[in-house]
Amino acid sequence: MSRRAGRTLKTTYPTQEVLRVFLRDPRAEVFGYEIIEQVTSMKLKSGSLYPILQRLEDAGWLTSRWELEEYAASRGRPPRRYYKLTGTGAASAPSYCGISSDETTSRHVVGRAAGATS
Amino acid sequence: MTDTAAILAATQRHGSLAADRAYRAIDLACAVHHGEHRQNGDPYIVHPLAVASIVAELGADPDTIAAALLHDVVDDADYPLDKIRAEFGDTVAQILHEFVQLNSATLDLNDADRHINELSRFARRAVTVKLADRLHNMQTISGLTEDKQHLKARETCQVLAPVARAVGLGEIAVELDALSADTLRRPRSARPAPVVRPWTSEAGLRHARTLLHLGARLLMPQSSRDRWLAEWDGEINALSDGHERFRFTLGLVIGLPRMAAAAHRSALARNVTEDRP
Repeated sequence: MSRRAGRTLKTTYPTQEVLRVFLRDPRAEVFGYEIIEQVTSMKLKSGSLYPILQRLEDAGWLTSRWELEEYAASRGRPPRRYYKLTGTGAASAPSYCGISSDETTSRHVVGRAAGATS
Repeated sequence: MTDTAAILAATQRHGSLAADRAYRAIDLACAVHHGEHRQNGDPYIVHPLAVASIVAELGADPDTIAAALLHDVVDDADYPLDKIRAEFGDTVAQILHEFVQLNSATLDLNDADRHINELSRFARRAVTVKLADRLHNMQTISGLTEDKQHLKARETCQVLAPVARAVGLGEIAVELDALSADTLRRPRSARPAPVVRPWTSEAGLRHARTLLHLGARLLMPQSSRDRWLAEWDGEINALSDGHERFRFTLGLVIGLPRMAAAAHRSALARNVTEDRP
């Protein structure tokens, strides 16, 4: 685990854009296509997104889980995979994205005040 | 669907390097033809896949199969031959060089014998690609206007079928003759109007999805392949818009080599087998 978390993450614009989506609400869970839709400053391709998610998971910044099978089945489709920032990710992502920590702290608090639970 | 499987199976027989190269050729063709479609509405990539599958069926070697996959990448899209040489080797570049030459001749049907002689003298592998190209074009000719259908059918029976016979590809000659006779026999008024299907047809999505699965099987590490395929299937199935589904899937296909590199690095670092909960 420490070996994984210790791996350095190369700074690229698409990775920053993906992390910005997570930073909008650091406690939210999002799935792949949702990220593509929410990155509006560039045309993020599906083929670029998943290697980024893999690297962020490897770095210990993101964690993921499968959607509950029953829920997906009730919608008549296979389960999706949801991603979420880890503590390390939430702490490291702002400076990686060049966002001041004040800005994200206030968003974080708003996220909690709005009743986000995990 | 079967095209891709036939291509990969035929090249796999020559070892995994050959299969990997076929996959890279498919990948490049996907990238170069991305967003293009044929006159009958199919995504363009359907055509090189079909042509490669025809040459694979004829028992062609992996170089010819790769050249078939890339024939319009070089001829129509002007992808530089030097880059083909660097990425796929001298032989593939040489076949494509000859293909472009033999394909550039405008056929004068009053001088069919001369054309038959000229074309038959090109290297067999380039001629094979050309004949397979024409065969698939004849199989999908309904996308063309009536006049063009007629012209192509006459070229086919007067020049290309005889060339096929001259180079010993009799079975292709028979098919070319039958297809062109079919087109020429139909009275113009009775010929059905071309059916224009949207380029996001079910066939397109099926092709892209098959490519994704076969590509993942070739390139992704076993430990995480199923997880990613399951995740992608989940996303694809949840998309309601056909166009968006196709784009999403094709994007994954094009991104597969990079994805595979990331997944291999991850598997190496983690050294565990499966992380699906």
